[in-house]
Amino acid sequence: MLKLYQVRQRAYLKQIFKYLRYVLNDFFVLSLLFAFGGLGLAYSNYLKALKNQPTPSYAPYIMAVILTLVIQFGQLKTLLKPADAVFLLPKEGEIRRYLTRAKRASLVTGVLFTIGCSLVLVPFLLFILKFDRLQVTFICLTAIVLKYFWLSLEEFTLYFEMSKGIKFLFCVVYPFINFLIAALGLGVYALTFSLVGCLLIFIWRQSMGEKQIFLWQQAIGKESSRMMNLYRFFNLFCDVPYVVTSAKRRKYLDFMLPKAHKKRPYYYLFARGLVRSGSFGSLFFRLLVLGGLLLCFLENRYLALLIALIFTYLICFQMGPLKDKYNEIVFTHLYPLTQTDKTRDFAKLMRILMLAVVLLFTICYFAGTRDVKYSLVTGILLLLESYALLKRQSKEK
Amino acid sequence: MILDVENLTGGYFMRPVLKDLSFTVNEGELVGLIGLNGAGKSTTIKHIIGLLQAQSGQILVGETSIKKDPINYKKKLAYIPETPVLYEELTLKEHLEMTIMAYDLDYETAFQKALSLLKIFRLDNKLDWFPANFSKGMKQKVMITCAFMTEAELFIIDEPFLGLDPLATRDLLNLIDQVKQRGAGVLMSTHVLSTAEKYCDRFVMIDQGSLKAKGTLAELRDLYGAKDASLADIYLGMTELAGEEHA
Repeated sequence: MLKLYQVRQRAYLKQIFKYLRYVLNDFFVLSLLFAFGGLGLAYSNYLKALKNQPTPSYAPYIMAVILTLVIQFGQLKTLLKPADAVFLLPKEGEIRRYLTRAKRASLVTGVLFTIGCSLVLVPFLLFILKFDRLQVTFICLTAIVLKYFWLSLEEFTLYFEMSKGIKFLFCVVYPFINFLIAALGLGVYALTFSLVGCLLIFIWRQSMGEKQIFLWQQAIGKESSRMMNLYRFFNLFCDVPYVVTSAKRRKYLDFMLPKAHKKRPYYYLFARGLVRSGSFGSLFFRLLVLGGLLLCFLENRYLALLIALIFTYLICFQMGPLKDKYNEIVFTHLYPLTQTDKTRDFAKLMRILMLAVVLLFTICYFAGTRDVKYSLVTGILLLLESYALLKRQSKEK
Repeated sequence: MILDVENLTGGYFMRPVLKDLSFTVNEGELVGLIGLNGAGKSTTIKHIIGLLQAQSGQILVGETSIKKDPINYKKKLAYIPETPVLYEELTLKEHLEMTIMAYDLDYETAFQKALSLLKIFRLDNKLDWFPANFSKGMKQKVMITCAFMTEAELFIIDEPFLGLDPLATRDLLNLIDQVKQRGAGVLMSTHVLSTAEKYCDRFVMIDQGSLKAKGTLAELRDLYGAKDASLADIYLGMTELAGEEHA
């Protein structure tokens, strides 16, 4: 079982790094650098401004809130898979050792993250809250201890069902109180109090007999959700095969959809595929709204035009794959319909979409720049752009 | 003849899985396509419905060849896959409408027919639901409805009985009987030999991609040389013999 965790961890890390490559592409890294630079500057300005003033009253609460939030990150990575419910059941006795390994691995990342954030907070503690080095050390230690407590609690919930309220109490309220105590200058008490919590967990674990039933379904479910969230994050940067967004009914949009019409089955299908899917419908809507809002607030005529052109291109480009969405459904090949029908119907849908996009963007452009002449020019340019893009799209297979 | 498979040799890419396979399905007939796992039943079906291209030989459905007239060829077919295949974003009603549009059926007649089928399967109150969220059995019933609401001449059903409760099995067999009576042919691939024995008019047995035997139960019994053998006996006997040949 211990070897199993090692093997899985290796595969897991390999997968994470594979996706991280896509996340940390040049653009993103650059924007992150800018963001961190800006934040860092703002932070140091804030510190400089309040350095010589008395501690504001909200400061301890801010510290407590931030630290409580920090320890919520870095979950227990059990790396259990759905098939384990069948294959690993005989190994129920050894699951404890497996979990210990898992907790140790999760502690590494969790504690590192906590330490990192605490270090970032240190200037705040030193200059705003005006603590001495000893207090700061106590606070950092308390954070680490509470992170350990938090992970142990996660482990606890894999054996005993815990209601959401109680879990919240232990995971959020208890650490918050500890941090508040520390924030009020009583670091040593906070540390002691946290250690008491850990002691209780320790006692529980010792008292838990070998026969304690492990909640397989819940544990696997939690791990699956954790992985799903991770995949969803990666899905923002690249196509993750595991992320399958389910269709939403969106009955209120039914009035817009084409009715059953003899000549256009693909149009019927694609329209619904667009409106009701998470990957296409929601994406289209998000890009439309984002682009529209941006344009409404941009006064610079040329910048707004650039944004409008870019967003139009983005929308057209992102909707393209809709054409191939149903290629894996056998009926798409079985129906007595031709490829030409499909291409033609898809082109019709795209034309309507792009027309709506151009119209909306032109209106928003006008709302932002208040220039009729330029708005008309923009509208025409967008139309030309859409025409060119659609032409190219229909030429593709 | 509704379906005429002549000297079909084909398979995946470079590997010919089917070797010189020939059989027919006549009007008003239910033919059982029998074979072990991996014998080539699914491959045969994929060739007939046009997902795979034959390397040699030809397949005619109602005198139409898929190479010469694919649209009309496909209009004559209805297919029920082993595992239900549905559109995630369409409601049950929309799946029906999609079938009507694709096969160019008359809306009113076809829809009424579909509704009567849904009533039999107790799905008529779920027209506005997503079949993608149904249980497996319910999904299969949706597939059956979409197939049997058409005016197809040839029905191809892959492993129909797995996952259907006895009531639905009976209903499906009734439907098959109805289309047989109006002159359509049905090709059914299955492992459930006891049911096949009772309802199929003829059998086509394949093993390792080639035809082992074909005919009615009586003809097969003659071939096998046992007057009272069940289909299962005949099948096991023939494949064992074949196994000895290859051993």
